[in-house]
Amino acid sequence: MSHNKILEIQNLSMEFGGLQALDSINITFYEKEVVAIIGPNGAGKTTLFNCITGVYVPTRGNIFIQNPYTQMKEKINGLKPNIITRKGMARTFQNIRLFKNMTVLENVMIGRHCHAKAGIISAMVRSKKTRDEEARIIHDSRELLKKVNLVDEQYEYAKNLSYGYQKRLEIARALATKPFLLLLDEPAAGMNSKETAELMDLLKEIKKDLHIALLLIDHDMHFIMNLSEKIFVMDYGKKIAEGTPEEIQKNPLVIKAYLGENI
Amino acid sequence: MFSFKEIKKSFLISLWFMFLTFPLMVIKINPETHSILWEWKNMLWVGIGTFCISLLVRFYQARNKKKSLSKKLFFADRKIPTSVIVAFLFFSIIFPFLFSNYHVNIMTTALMYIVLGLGLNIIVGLAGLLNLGYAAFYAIGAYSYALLNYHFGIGFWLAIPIAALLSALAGILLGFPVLRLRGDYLAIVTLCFGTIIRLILENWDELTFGPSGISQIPRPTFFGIEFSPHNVTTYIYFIALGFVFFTIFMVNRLKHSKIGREWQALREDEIACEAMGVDKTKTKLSAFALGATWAGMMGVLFAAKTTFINPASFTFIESVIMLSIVVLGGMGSISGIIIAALILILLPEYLRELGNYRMIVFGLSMVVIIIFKPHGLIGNVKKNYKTDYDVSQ
Ligand SMILES: Nc1ncnc2c1ncn2[C@@H]1O[C@H](COP(=O)(O)OP(=O)(O)O)[C@@H](O)[C@H]1O
Ligand SMILES: [Mg+2]
Repeated sequence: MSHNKILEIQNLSMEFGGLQALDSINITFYEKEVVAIIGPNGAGKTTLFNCITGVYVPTRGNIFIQNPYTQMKEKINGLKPNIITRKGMARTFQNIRLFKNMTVLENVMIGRHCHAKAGIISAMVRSKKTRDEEARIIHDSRELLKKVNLVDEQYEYAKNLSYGYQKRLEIARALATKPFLLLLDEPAAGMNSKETAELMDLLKEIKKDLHIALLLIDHDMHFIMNLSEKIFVMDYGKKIAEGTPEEIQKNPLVIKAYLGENI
Repeated sequence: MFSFKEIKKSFLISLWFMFLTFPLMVIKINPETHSILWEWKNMLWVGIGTFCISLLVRFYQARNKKKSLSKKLFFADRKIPTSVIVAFLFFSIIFPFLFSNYHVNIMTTALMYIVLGLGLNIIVGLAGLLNLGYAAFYAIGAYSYALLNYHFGIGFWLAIPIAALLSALAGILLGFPVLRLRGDYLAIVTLCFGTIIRLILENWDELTFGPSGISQIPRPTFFGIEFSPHNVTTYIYFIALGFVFFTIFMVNRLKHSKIGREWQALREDEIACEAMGVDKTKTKLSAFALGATWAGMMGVLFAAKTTFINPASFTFIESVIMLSIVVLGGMGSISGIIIAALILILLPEYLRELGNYRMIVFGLSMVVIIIFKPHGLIGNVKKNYKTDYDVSQ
């Protein structure tokens, strides 16, 4: 297994008014890894995601990404979310944020847009080049829908999908941007055990077929322990532990902060 | 059929209406004797009328709830059949030869509002940016032509692209400060923009000739040939019709292109949009610019049609009518906007015989449409991206 760094977080802090949501976080991610972040509610996990993806500008610290294909390393804090997405990181949201009144297919197509060139003029002229590009977007998007098993629903409005389907659509949409790191904020939350099992299979398949790194937040221990190779534990904005699932399960600090006595 | 509760509700509503309309309907002043006439009979009519309408609405709503969703969408989610389109096309082409100039003139105005509605639809319906100052772009187009013609003798056809460009620039100018705003805040700023433009037109006498406006604007020519006053009405009608076709064609293309989908995504969720790599700034500004373009072009046509413009033609009410067309038509739907523009422009014209009651009937019909079709006359038609294109290459 290769060990190229893809994301390096150094001394990252984020304050909201007086509230220290993130406190000097240091984390490094490697290529093709599946990593989980766990921690009680309010620990700052979503805030960490928002800092990485450019929704928030961190108060202190640095975030670097290194593209695994070009090996180019660059600082990304302060960049806009859309720029960061183009650099190869995509995310899903804790509260589903689909384009509700657009069809399932269109949702995924939007994700693919960042690899398309067509502008306003070409939209009006609609040359052969533009039509080819459009057809490719449609084709690629449909392939992704096949992957997440939503191809039968492609002309349905996103708002009409069931909760589990919507979560899967969000993953497909994020994948459409061709990321090398996919960030999933509580993908299994609110799912029943059957849906969770399906999601687990899907994520394993994504990892196997697309060779991308996954970073996931979740509370479902079975889900986390089954999927991830490495776990970071956060509490009150601090990273309090890291290790393999087995190490984390035995770590007394973690048990105290989060897992309770029953695991 | 109705529960007692519903009847009671309708009764209370009618009481409330009787109270509201009391000063308007009951107290009449006899100007000769300077005494007050109490018209109690009117109050009774208002009461009975409101009661019946309210019951009718309730009945309709109850029936609608029972119907399955698919049935309710019977009209909404369908493409308009080709035969209807062909019939409309045919009718629109022979129209000026069947009716008098008076009717052709009115229809030309309606056609212009179709274009305006479709243009505003880019900003409001597709990109979801509420705009209450659209008439400002209309004004910019009209004044561009009038002034360019006055000073430099620029003709109608050359003025069209220039005005389109100038209004697009104005659209970007308005877009920059409102990039962060949404919903009601955006409505306020755009409303102010519309008012500012009108005030500039009214007060900058040296440039715009102030409230007295600009007259003797030349009508459009046909490759340098001027038409007789009788024929020019028909000619302008066909120019407007041409614009309608051109706009439908272009807006349809834009809607189902990369930029069009990005506009819609921006309307749905800005944060998710950015997370998907869509440049929010560029997308918003392009919606403002492209939306304004159509208003600019229609402004030129308006100036050429009336041969006289002044700031009073571009008031807030004008913007409201344009917005009403988009909202009534069903946000984002092209055929809905066409029907709404026809209703909203033709209805007040042909209701002129009703005199003072014209605007009341007009307002009432709008309320009725909103009640019975809360999502607009025609909902959005889903696009099925069917391609036979082979991408294996
Ligand atoms: N935009 C914000 N403004 C103020 N406080 C915030 C904001 N976002 C998150 N917080 C606070 O930061 C802390 C961490 O939140 P979050 O990252 O959502 O936790 P979680 O680990 O459950 O995802 C919470 O106390 C939350 O209230
Ligand atoms: Mg969270």
